[in-house]
Amino acid sequence: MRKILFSLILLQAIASISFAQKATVDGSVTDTSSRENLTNAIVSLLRSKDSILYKFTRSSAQGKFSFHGLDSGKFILLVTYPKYADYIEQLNLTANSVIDLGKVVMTLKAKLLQEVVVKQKISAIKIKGDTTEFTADSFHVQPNATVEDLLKKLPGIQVDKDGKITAQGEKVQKVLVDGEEFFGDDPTLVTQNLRADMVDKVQVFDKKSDQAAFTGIDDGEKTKTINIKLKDSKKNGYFGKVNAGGGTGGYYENQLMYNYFKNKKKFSVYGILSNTGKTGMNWEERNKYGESFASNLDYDEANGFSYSGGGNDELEGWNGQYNGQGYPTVKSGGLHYNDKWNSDKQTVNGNYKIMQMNVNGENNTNTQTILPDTLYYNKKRETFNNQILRNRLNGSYEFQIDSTSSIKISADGGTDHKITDSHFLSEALAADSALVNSGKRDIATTSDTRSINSRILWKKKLPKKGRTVSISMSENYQNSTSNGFLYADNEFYKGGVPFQQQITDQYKQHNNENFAFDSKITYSEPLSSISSLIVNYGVNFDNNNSNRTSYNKSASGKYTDYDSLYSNEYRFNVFTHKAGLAYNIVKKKIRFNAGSNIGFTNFTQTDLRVDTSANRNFINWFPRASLTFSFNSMRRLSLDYNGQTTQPTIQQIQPTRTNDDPLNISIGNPNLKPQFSNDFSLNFNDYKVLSERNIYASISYNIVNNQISSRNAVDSNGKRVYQSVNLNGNNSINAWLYYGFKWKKPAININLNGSINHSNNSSIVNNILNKTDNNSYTLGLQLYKSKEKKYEMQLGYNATYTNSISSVQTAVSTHYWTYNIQPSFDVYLPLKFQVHSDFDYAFRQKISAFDFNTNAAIWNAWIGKKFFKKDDLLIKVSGFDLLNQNIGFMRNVQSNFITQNTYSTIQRYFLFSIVWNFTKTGGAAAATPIK
Amino acid sequence: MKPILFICFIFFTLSPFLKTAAQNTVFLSEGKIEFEKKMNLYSQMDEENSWDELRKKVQPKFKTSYFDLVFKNKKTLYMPGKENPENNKIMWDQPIAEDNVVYSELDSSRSISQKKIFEDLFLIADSMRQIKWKITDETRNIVGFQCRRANAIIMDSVYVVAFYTDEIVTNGGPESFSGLPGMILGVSLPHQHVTWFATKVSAKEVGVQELKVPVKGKKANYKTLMVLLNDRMKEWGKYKQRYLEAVML
Repeated sequence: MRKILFSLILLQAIASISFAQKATVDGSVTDTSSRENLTNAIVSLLRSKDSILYKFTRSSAQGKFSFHGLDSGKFILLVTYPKYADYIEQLNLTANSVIDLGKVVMTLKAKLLQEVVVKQKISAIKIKGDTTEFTADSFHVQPNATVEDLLKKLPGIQVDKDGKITAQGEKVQKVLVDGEEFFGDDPTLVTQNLRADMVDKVQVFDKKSDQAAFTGIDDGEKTKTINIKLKDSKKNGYFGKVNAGGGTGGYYENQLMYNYFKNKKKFSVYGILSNTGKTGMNWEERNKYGESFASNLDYDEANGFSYSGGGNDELEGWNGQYNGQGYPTVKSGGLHYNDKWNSDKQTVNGNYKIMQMNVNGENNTNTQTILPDTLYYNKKRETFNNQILRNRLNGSYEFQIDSTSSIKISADGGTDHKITDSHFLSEALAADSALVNSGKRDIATTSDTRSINSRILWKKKLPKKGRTVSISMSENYQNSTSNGFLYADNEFYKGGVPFQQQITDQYKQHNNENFAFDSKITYSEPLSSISSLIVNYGVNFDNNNSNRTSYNKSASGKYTDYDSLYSNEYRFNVFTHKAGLAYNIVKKKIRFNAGSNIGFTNFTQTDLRVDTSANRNFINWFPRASLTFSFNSMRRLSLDYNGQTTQPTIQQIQPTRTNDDPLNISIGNPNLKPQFSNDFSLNFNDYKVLSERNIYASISYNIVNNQISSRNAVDSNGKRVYQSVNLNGNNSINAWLYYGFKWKKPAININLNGSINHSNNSSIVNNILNKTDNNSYTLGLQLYKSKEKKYEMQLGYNATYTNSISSVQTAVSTHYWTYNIQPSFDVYLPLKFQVHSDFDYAFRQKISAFDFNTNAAIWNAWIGKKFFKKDDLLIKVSGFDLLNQNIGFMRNVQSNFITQNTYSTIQRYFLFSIVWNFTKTGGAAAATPIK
Repeated sequence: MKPILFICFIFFTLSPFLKTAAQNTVFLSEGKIEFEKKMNLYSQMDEENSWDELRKKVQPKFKTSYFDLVFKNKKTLYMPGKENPENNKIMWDQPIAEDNVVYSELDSSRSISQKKIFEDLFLIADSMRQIKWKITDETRNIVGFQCRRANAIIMDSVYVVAFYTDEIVTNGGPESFSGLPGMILGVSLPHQHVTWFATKVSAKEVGVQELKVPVKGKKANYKTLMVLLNDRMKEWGKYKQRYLEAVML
């Protein structure tokens, strides 16, 4: 059938070519006065009804032109020649007309001008400054009027019938819309027109030439320019989400989020009541209902990116702050407000959040202590019941003062009220399983922390391109007080027989105060269009005060007996002034920057109880260098070096004993020096979009001088005393490779990844230098297949082998495998049903030290159905940990202390939930006509 | 004083020639045009997206790049021109159509274009796009050339404003824009927020070696390329339309 149809069409086409009559047009082009023939004149035929170009030709050396084989119809003949007036003639062609136009006579424009004296009346208008500005709404126009209609109404502006605009007597060369040239839409081609009621302001000014704008040297060349500023798209409305869920075992998860917006104003509020581990909004919800991460990032060429968010806000981590240990009960809520005005030049942002959380549970820690001559096994069981009440308030104000300078001020503050109640039972066994010590310990502490931080940043671009200056200042203040009771009863054994009992019964107070101030001035000077030099200077100080007091219970039963061994008041002030220089070059394929700061640091350490003081000075370097080579925009190799100095904390330096656990006593070290770490990294990535093939590879090396490590002394009773000390020689190497591709035929995405981690950690164990050598190797595989709106399937597998050997006893080595298998799927069924399932089987090989099973198979699944046109309502039944095997698990083998942690966590429960998304947008107010 | 005297001398000795030149306009049929391509980077960003708000802080509003169009009689070659060092500083920039090379033969209406689309280099040999131009009587001067405006719709929905001049006989233009009676010296896609405007026209002799036909790349035509890109970008949402518009020009 198709073939026949095709042949028919072909036949018809041939017939029409051979039999149709076509029109012909001939002529020649000459000058009016000189009667010379004009060569290369453009002769165009436009379709009369829509001016669409039909055919064109150029006149020959003799000025002749001709068109053959023309269709019949109405046409416009347009003859143009540079500096001559256009020649226009209507042509009506019939099927076989042969038209000879003869001589088409063209006239020079200069001649025309002599004959027609053009006079224009100029409206008298006073111009203030460089710019005359009209507010569009104050002029009456008809509904759906065009911008041209509006311009006609403005005093001093004329629009002629061809759309040419004259402002203040001069021809307007350029019309801009929000800074971009406006050409005017052709209503016969485009329906999307700029309407008068979308205009906010019309500005008329003399635009300097681009050259003048670029060099800053005014060459006096100016063009009359109109800039049309559009109104911000007007909108107001609200959206929100309600999630109500209740389930078995008393589990519940309720959440409410609401956002109201009016133009640029945004106000949102949220509240959460849950005991399923949800403590805050997740990443996506925060972007919609709170302050997003990106809104706190700042960038300038000299300093790169900087984050100016409200401090480290533990209230909301990436997914809330509960770390999986124990059973949480959470009440949390918050408010968010932000607004922009003055053409987005001024922004204000404010947030308040509050959370109350109770967590209780159980935590079991097993530790293997490897000593030069022996081993110990410790078992510790903790039951805890903790409460916290947190408040956080933050705000920021940003002002783009003019096109060259801006200022940003931000501040935040908060309070934490924390009640900790823990009970411990512990036991230490010798290598031959003989009991060495056993104990019980109770801790009850109440603490309060208050903090206020603020920051100001001023940036200015100087007249020379690329020359900038910025000043930043910040302040951080934190004060915390804690009061608590410690009761510990430890018994020590020899040959299985108790020989000593130690009871600690104390009341403790700890006040800690920290005040830090940081200031920096940065100046960048362009060396060429691609390179610059950046100089900075700054002063900062970090003042710390820690007051620890312990009272023993006296005979009267009151805690009045001052214990000087565990009490101390110490002041640690660090003052630094820092200066630095960096060089920066950016080319198409290469980016390079290198530089260093040098810091002159002074430590003032004062022991306030014994009134002694020490003063130490250090010179610290902060070198860094980075080289990036871009093969193309998809493939990049970069090499980075970063040298970092870390100052010791007051907890590490305060020369006092801390006996919160009398079996593990820490002593501060007032002789600690700053730690200096060298980090090298090499990264490669190659990203192929069309074939979906990605490679990422990285290798990094880190070596630390004066690493703040620890010195441990474990005695024959299993008691440990530890202190921070500076040690050299710690290093680590990490290598990582990711390879992802698409297996075309079955359309499966396959990712392979592998990593190697090696580290050497030095510490001192019973006066012997111990080096722990850690290695771990991981291989992973992920398969992913999806069909839009049908299903998604994923299968993940990874295997890790870890081994660790400490030099104090090379005969004892720890090595084990861990595997994870993670299949998951989502299926979209008819009638808006969706089924989800994810499964994680974790296999953790037992290590010889701790001989019990920690494997777990965790299976979560839900089924849901969406309702209504916009899928506003979701009803869902979810099951968590269907096999009831969830256990908290952590293992650490980084030093001569091998630890394994298991803790209680949320296990099997079912939840029935209703999720309702609501939204109302009163959009496009700009469409209402102006009355 | 001396240079001024010299210029005066030249002017007076040449003035008879200049006069005739003014009446019999010189028509260029070979030479080189430098185009400045300007893109509004903000126009692709969303107001609600905080990452786009950040990009507005980090990126300039316009990105400017340069292209050269070499032409001789009925042949043109459009290719990347001088480098703009400012573009290297643009953060998170994903250059589109910045390496395009387009060779056009206007008499046979065929073109061979070399386009880098993500990681792949394509060599697209096809007939040139037939554009239904609507001629207007609006004129403007672009680098000393009087140009006339024409409007059109291409690829079903992209509105094009072009300015062409009588004074260049070769009737081509930047990228694949052509089909007007003279050379196109300015193009704007107002709704895509992209413009190409000539910044320099050099009348010079063009050798055959300067009109090199691109040869490297995976062979394709517009239809096969469209099928391929539609398949690869099927889950890209609104970015697909934007990308296709930029790539298929």
